[in-house]
Amino acid sequence: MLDREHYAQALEPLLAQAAGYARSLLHNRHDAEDAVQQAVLRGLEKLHTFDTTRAFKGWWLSILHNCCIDLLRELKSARTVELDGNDIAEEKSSSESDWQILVAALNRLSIDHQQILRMRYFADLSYRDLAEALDIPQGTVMSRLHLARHALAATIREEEQ
Amino acid sequence: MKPVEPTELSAYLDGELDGERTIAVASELDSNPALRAEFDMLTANDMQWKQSAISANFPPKVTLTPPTALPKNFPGVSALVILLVLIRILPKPGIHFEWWLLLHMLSLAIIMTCVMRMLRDGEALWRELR
Repeated sequence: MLDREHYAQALEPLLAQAAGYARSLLHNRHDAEDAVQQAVLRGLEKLHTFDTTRAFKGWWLSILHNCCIDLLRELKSARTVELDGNDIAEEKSSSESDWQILVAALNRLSIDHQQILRMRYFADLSYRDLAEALDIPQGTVMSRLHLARHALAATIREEEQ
Repeated sequence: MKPVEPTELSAYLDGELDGERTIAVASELDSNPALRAEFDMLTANDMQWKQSAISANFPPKVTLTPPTALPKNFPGVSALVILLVLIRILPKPGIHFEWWLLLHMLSLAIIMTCVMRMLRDGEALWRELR
């Protein structure tokens, strides 16, 4: 079993990427930060269930993903989405950030393809971590990722034409 | 040797194939221009998408340990516990014995609950203080 100290040590190098992943789902820094904080605390609550033979990054990213989905539901039901000052400043300084262009293309794909590409590119998960996070065999990760990449390339080509 | 599957191109790009399949794909790429062209496009897209995704990253301001779990009405609860302890130790006032017994049992139950919660949260508090 992982203890709290090792949990914090394992998490620290993942945080910036985790924030990027959450931001790709929630579209602003403030909500992304909230989701990451919730995932940190929720992971701590569930630490006793983590099997050290499993991939930690994949396990924790699936917790983060669920926190992002929960937050999205709350935001939708509250019907208010506020942008923080940083995001407003970003939108004013450049037409669209690179990651926002990528997310816009991702959102046109099927849910399975969106999820695997988001986790691969924004969270930089290995195939083992992807299998853990998505609860699918590694063989399925390989085929799904390949098809998802082709779908994304086709979507981007269509938008450029 | 088993022919190269198209899905193996992605895994080859990501370094996720075993030694034997890596050699098989590398060999096929050398001899198959169409496959090579597909792989080059996959590589170019992959690099672009990675760069785009990295631009979303930022260091979040989070705490890696939960805040100290003090109850919100901690002063009120403390005052109640002190009062109940005093009820237990001070001489019996002029009330019926049954009411006095009920008051003692209630105060004991509340004190036991508080002690059990402190023991449950004490470990976490101790680690934070260390």
